[in-house]
Amino acid sequence: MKYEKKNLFYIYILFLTLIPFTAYASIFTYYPVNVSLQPVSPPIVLRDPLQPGVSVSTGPAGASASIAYLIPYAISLSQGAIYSNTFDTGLPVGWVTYGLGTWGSSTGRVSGGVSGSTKGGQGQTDVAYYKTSDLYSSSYSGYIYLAAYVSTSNVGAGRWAGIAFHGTATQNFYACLVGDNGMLEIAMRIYFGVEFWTVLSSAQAAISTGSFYLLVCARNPSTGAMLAQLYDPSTGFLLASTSASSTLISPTSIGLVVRRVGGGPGVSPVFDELVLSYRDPGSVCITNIPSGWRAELYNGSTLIGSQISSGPAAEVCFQIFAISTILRQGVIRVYDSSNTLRASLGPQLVVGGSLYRLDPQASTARILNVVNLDGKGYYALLTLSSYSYSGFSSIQIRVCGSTCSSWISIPPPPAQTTEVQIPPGTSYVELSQNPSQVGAQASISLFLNYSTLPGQGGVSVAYPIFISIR
Amino acid sequence: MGARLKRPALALSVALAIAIILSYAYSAVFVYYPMNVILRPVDPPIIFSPGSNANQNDLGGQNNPYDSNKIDVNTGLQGTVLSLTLHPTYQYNYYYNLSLIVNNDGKAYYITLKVKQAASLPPDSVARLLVYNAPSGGDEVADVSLLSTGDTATAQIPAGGVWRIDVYIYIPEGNTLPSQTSAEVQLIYSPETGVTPPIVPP
Repeated sequence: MKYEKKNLFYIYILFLTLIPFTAYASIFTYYPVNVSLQPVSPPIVLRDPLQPGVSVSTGPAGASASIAYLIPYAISLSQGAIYSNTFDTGLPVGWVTYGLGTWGSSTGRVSGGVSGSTKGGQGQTDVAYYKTSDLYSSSYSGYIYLAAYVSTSNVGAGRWAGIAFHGTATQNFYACLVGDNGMLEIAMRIYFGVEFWTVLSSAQAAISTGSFYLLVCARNPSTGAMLAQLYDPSTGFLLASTSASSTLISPTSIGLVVRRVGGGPGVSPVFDELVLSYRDPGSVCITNIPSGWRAELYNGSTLIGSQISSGPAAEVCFQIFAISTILRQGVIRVYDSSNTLRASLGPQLVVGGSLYRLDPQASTARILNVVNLDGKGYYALLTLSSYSYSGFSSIQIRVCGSTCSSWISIPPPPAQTTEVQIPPGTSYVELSQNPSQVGAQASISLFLNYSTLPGQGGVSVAYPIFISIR
Repeated sequence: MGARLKRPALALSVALAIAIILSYAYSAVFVYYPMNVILRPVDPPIIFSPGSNANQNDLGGQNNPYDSNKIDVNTGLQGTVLSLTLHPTYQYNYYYNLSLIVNNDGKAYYITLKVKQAASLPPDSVARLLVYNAPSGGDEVADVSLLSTGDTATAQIPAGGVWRIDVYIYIPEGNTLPSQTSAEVQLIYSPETGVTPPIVPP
């Protein structure tokens, strides 16, 4: 009985101890908090700067922007013809003639002629050649092409007209000739007070008098390999071709040749559009074209050809000799896969055998206007969110207000610019890019952060900006 | 015989009347125990105080002459009320360090935020009241949407602790901005946890 009283006492003490905790748990204090939102129109809005190559789409309130920037491209001459002459004023200044014939001009072309009595059966040769300086190295290890349009008055036996790889200090040369009963020939002329002709190779060519043909004569100075080709410009067809090889002569210049052997009617050929080049003189090529892009070649407003690149940096070529191997009003245009004109060259003289190259250009451009419509200044910076890119040496972006911020770099660091003040009026975002290859492209997401106090204090607002560079 | 029958009935009626009278007499008995309630008000152990961006420039302003909107922060005379007036715009708005929650007591308290009345913004908008356990940086201890009613989880503010209140607002473009909308929130604190606070005022 005594033990039970003691237990009751302990239970009573424990009950008293728990009372204060129960009281604490039941104390709640309530403070009212009121958050009133009074939205305002954006004090800073984004606008299209209306700059070339920049296309901007802003959100309905001007609080976001999507920017497409087109990398500027340029077309430049990568490898031009070694020499060319339109012969528009006859035989050019600096050319030297020898032989028995005469040279003159004929409606914008060079005319030559050999006629009269035969001379001891050795024939009569009339040569005009360009010897001002060596035009190419005799050790060059590829084909060098010489081409001219030739029309002759006589393709009969013992009558030739052609073009020559000529020795500068001698009267020796290799010549590609048409004539002698409609043949295409590669011949060699050696002169030791008297001339000696050797036909190295020949092919039958169905040519007629009074028509212009494109005569192409190619020679590899290192190996002595030679190639003669005759094309019909009206059809583009190859009429005849023949090849030979000889290293007896080391020509470094070029010339025109008219030859007659035997009596009878003379021969009076006309030459036009002489081209000496390292590449096919009947074509013009443009290299470094991105896949899916389209190149076009015009002469004036006449479209000569249009080709779409099938490789990442492919070369496309246009056969031009049906028009002329020297385009007086040549225009090259390159369009991207969206059919947007990306580069243009001309109108200018475009010579067959030339190689042009398309290259992306480094640039710095204003890509977005940041207009502060408020009566007070703000403090802005750019923060990179995400990016992907290929084919660039560098991409940089910054914001310019009272001063210009530091740059964001792609790839970072830095991923954030320094802060600049955006006064009332127009500030802007600037892009600087340096592509390293054609087809360079990038996608960049960033934020324009601005605040009412320096250090992004007060309230900080973020506008999303997406930039596509291609 | 008839008179003999009436007498017992009369006696029963009298007895019943006496019993009823006696019962009324019993209900008039009152017993009084002494009970003393002493109220000793104290200074609020938890108070609001203005943050570093309180009453600084907000977005926009009035023209002619120009008068910038302010980040209005009012914590009352004793710091037991918090009133915020903000001027957000489209896209992402972050108001940092608007107010501080200060525990001046020597013991910890448990804090809950309850949104009693939600604000209204265009569809897909976001408005959150965020609490961090330090005046600068710190870890998030409470995050409540101002666009729907509900409670945050309870978090403990230690003795002498200082918490920071930020507000994050996102309003997508393409919607008309309301001129004003408000959220009513309660900060509820208690020295003990584990009990659901009653709704006050009842």
